[in-house]
Amino acid sequence: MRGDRGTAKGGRDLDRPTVARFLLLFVVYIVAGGFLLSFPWVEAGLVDPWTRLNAASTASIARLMGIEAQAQATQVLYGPGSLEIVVGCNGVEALLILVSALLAFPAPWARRGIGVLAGTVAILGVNLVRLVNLVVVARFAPAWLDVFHVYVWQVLIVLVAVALFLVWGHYLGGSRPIATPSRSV
Amino acid sequence: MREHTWPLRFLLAGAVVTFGFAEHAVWGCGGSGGQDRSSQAAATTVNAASGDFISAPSNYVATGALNRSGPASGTSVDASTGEFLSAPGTYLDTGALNRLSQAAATSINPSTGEFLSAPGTYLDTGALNRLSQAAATTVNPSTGDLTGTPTTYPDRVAHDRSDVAAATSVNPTTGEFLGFPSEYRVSNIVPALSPVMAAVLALLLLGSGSWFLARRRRLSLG
Repeated sequence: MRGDRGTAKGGRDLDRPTVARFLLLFVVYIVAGGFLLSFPWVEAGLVDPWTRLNAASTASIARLMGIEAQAQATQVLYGPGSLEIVVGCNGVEALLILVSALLAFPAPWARRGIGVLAGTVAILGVNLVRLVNLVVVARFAPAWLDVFHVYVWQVLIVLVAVALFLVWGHYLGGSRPIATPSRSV
Repeated sequence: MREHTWPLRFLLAGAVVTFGFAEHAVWGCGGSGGQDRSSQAAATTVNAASGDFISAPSNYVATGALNRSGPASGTSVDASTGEFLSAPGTYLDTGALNRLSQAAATSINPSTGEFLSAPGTYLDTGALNRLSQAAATTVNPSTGDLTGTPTTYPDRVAHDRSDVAAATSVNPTTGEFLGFPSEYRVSNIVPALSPVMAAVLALLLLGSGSWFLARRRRLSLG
């Protein structure tokens, strides 16, 4: 395997049009996705039901762990308190960013689809774990809630997304030589 | 640097960067942790005869600092029935909201001090039901002390307000708040990603993608 320094001089490695296209598409997909999410019918028909499902799933898992919890719309009621899952807490935004990067990267569409599927499962799964963990922490160690939701879980969500992109890029997206730019997009 | 170790190094660098940004990422769902509302208590008075709020604190730290002097001047309570007569048209909390419906639906039994009803929905940042809170909250009519607090207080946050109730008292003669807990715990969930962290994630993905493209270019060039 060749080292980075062997060829990475003066940007000769960069296929500037391809990189620029990746950057541009990435931004376009994020803006378009954000715009789509801002429609009331998308929020009512997709985001809100998903958020409610998050709350219900979190409460169910918490009950399996022996915590008296129940879901009420987008709230998870437990013992002496409750947590509300609001827009932005449901993992959709993090998923949008990751999916935008996956779709913008010049790889065969089937491989992009695999990445999107894996990313969806990973991000939403990790977010569910995050919510359950926050209920547990809020119930039994509320003094640690800030540490977990500000430091631990935000960092973990970012790292999971980046790690997934790196793995996908290594095995499915970035290891193939470029034949022609038009064929790979 | 061996090429296959580069993604791992990139990930570690990402961990450092995101951790560094994390504490600047509290937004949207609001602040978190203990809050000092003692200044609010000290500055808030209620006219015992009319039930009108006489003053409110200039700063009311909820999710952020906000001014409730406007709402206070427009809020009145029927002294004979204990019913709220009016509420401000806008009540700044995290965002502007209308508590008129809340005021109309909330009443207090003046002889027992017990809350008789609460609005079905209480708009804070999100819609929530405080009926259970109302049912479980009582005020000692002779001392003005809160004698009970709901076991659950569904706000958009998880918190135990029993200590609030225990430490809060109202002078029944003057209607003045005598004390408030120095710690008023409001613990919030922050989003999975704040805008700052979302930007960090986007930059990390852009960097990763660009690196992969450069790597693929090298491979294609042989």
